[in-house]
Amino acid sequence: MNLKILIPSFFILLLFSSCVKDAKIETNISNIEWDKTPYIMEYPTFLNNPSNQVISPTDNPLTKAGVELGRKLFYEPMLSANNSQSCASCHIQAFSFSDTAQFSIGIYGDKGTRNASPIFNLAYQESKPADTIHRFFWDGSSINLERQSIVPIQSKIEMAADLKMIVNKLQSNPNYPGLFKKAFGTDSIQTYLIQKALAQFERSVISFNSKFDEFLSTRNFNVFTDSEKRGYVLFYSENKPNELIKGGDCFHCHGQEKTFFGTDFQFHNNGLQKQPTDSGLFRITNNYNDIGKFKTPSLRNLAFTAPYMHDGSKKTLKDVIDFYDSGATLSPWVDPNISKHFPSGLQLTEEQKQDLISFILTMTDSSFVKKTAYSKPN
Amino acid sequence: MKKIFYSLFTSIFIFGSCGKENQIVNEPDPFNQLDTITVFKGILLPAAGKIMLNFENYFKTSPIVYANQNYVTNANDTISISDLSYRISNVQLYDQLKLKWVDIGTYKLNSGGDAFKYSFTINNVPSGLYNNIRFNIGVDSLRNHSGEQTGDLDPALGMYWSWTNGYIHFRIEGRLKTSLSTFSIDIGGSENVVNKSIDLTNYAVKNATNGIAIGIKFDINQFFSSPNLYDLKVDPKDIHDQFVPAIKGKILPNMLNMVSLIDIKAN
Repeated sequence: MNLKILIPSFFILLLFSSCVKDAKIETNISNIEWDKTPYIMEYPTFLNNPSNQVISPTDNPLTKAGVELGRKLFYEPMLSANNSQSCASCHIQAFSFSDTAQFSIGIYGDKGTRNASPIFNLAYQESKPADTIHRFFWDGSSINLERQSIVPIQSKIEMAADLKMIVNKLQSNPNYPGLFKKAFGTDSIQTYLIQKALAQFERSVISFNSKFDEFLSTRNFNVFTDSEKRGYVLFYSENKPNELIKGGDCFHCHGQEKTFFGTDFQFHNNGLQKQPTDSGLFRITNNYNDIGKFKTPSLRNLAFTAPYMHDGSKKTLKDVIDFYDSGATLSPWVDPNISKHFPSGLQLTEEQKQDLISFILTMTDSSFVKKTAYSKPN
Repeated sequence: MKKIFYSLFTSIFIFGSCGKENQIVNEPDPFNQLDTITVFKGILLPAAGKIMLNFENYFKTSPIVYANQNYVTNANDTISISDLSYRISNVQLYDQLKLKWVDIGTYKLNSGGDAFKYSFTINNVPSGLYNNIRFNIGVDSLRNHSGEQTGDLDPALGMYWSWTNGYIHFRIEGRLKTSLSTFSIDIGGSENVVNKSIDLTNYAVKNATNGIAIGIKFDINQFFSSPNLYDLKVDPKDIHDQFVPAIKGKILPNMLNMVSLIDIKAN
């Protein structure tokens, strides 16, 4: 065949085929409708009170399509600069969405400076009353999940991505424009829609299926073993050495029994270091009283989330209990409920420490770490 | 027949355009007090109109040019400028008759554009007699940490501190020739928003077809000198944190003095 004819016809064919392909994507997207079907959360009965249910911002209600898109983005390596890590790389479901490393490693091999926080019941961190507007990250630098969601993506030592590039990558992907249209009514992807989707998924992640939750539902104390029962009493008791009453004083920060969450949603200096090397909330507020304050972590799912503390310095729960039992350290910033034990400490027996650990581990939700609704989508 | 047709067509056209005018003024007032004002100070909009804000960046009287132009500060620092970015928000006008501030602003970001000039137009400014304009250089504390991050507030556009989840209000970067180094100053944080108020009463400008243009000068010489001498040899030349004492101590008062009125024109 004559080459003069062949080459132009090849180009015409190429043009035509690309047109057809574009038209196909376009048609698909134009057929997609905004799906506002609400995402229904399933709560245990003891959380039936509306004040104990997830509250979404009015401009970002939970929808099935929004949560599903957020879940896909959570597991999406395109959100990192070199497509090598997703949020799930350091927030691993098997470990209650935390990392087993003391400090997670970013896409360029950089180590973080704080232990990766687990992800569950975060919506309560947002909606429950606290003394501060600061909510997320160990130092409270984000006040809501929309703002939180893009921080690790942009952090130079984590996913190190440029938001513009992410938007472009997602926009040119054959699937994402349609998924955004389904979730938010537009296939024009923008940062704030990525934030909304990730925040929706994070809000949807709840964990209330442990032995402790069984107790909260049934109020049957006999669900606990004898050691767990003794641990329960220690956990919720004030330590009064003068009255010869041994208590763990744990509940002051890790939640009253009726609050279910294992945290008071506040920030405290727990006396981990006399001179905090990481100033915590202070860096955000510049308030002298906030030096070395970090967010109280929930005691739920600790079976999966070692190592512990904001700096991952405690390898086991026994190490944590030993630390608090020792009376911690004293500085002007240490929380009064810790400093009151200085210098003699709680003086718990080894058996009492084991009882506390046994009780705390009743807050382990083994179904949560396998729940398919939160796992990597197909 | 043709004549009738033409006149009918023209009258429909006029009628149609009248209807359109009426749509702009929300509530047509048979007697508009503002129309009767002839002697006034400030800017007069008898009907809703548009206002263009033209920001011009100078060093003393020289328009800012990036990279190759040298400027000498009052502290004898020879500098060149490679980036001058800022956010303008919460624009308000003071209505002399209603005795209240009227919100007309949105959130604007000047970044990556012309070194000298930055303009934006605010449409549908309500009618009124205004003698003062004020605006923020930066983003107010409420929007700094909450609300949808859309438009010029999209963090993808930069001028954003990811680590504290807040916006950078003002940025100046360049080279410090006297010590062969660079300087990079970012002003951010909820407490470091500058609210500048500018008196408009030296002018008397009535709205015209294409609105009113207000020229505003940013003088970078003042940023480094008035009222506080800012010496890049001594004072911090790299600021990327909101709590650096020099911000409140020196820079914020200087930023207030950096802004002045150039002129007001009817377009």
